[in-house]
Amino acid sequence: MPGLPELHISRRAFIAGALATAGALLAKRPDSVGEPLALPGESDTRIEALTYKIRYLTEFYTADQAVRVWIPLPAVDPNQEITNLAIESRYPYTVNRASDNSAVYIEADGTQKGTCASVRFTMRRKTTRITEAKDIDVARYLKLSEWEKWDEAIVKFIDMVVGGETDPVRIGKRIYDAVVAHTAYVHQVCSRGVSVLAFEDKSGRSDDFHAMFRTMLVYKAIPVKWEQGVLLPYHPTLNKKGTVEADCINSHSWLRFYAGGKTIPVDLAEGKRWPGLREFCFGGLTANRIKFSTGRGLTLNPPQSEILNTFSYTHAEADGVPMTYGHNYRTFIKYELLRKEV
Amino acid sequence: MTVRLYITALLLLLSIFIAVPAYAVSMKEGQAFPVFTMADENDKMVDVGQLIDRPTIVYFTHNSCHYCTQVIALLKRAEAKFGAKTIGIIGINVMAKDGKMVRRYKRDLGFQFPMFAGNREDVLSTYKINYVPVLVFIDSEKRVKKIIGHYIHEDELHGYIREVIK
Repeated sequence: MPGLPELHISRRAFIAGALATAGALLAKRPDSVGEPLALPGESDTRIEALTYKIRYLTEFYTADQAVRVWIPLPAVDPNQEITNLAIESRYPYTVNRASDNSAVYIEADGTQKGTCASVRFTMRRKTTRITEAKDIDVARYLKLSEWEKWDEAIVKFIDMVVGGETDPVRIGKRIYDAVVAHTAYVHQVCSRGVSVLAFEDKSGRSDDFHAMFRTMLVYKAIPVKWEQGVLLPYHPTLNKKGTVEADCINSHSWLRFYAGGKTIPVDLAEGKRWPGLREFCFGGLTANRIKFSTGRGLTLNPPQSEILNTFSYTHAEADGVPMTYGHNYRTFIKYELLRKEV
Repeated sequence: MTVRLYITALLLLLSIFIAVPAYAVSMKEGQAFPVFTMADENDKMVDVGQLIDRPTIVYFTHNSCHYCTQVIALLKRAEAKFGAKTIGIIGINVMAKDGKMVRRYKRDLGFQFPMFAGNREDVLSTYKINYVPVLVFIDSEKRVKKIIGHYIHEDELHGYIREVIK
């Protein structure tokens, strides 16, 4: 973007990004040597909807006392139709529905190793595009979470990027382009999504890209909604069946901002990772994702022991203390692609 | 009048020092490792600086990070291989606000090296921890030799340990 200063990425961020990118590319390398890598791009943007059969599993690896578990239920909205929802649990449970963050809640005096619960559903997820913003109370999306703050450096950056532009859609596009250019994508870390730290380090994952973007737009009084879920494989690498771990590594966020009577979806992280999606991800979201939660700084029903940053995978506590993911429990999404609409 | 001016100037000067938060100092390679008094698994406040009396690894982690639990296994093996008197290991759990979560983490993963509750604004701002895992290698002069902000392989870990203990 003209007018932007030269971008200096920290050595730590550069090395981390380079190592991780190399690792990710190697991991995606097809078996046949010499075959070009098939990267997400136009073929994904031509998809209108994907229909999956999903089984969301929460597995215990240890036995514990006084366990409480919150399992996120998939959101239902115009982009995500959920049918055939069925819950199986080894322990008594309740379904606590809410306008944004619904959950299966389990409370057990003692738990055993093995499957704790399984949530099955069929999801038809549509490609998200710009729509009319009707009957939406956008004022609540002007409130920032504890992880989204601006400092002097961010304000200076916003002023420089936005300049004299007053149209909120064009402000959004300028900031989208600038944050994507400014920030290196880092794989294989669990991020807190702190806008000030991500901006300073010039690196991060989806929560960092989106914490920065949301902070900057709200600074310009443009409402932005935070959505969270898990990304499934893209078209070039999509098998009919597969398993994705639902954890902090695979947790994925995206945003919608409200401007000029429109709802404009953005996914800066995927726009950064895949050059073929960079333009599409301003105003579009690919269909290969499950939305579980909305907002940040969440208190569930009943309240958990500490505020949750987001809620895209199972939260479990024993004796009122969050359990250790990977040691005490893990969560998996088993998917089967039923239909692809192009 | 002169005395009042002097006292005012002195108070202003003092206020500058008092007003500067601890996290005005940050963590950078080549510089002294900033330290805090932090709560251990029994909620006992410990001056972490007192523990850095030899080359040390400070490991930032939290309960939701699966990769991080794998790094704990590497650190336990490194401690056994190099010896606790040669390389110190200190954990900081950035999700823990008090000793409860640290206690559970230590018990679950079965390690003996100290770990502290690091979910504090001053701690997170000073160390600039936005994601985990982060490993900080500190030399015998208590200077930050290397910061690694991603998953680490065992041979790479041992290489950095050899660098700080030589």
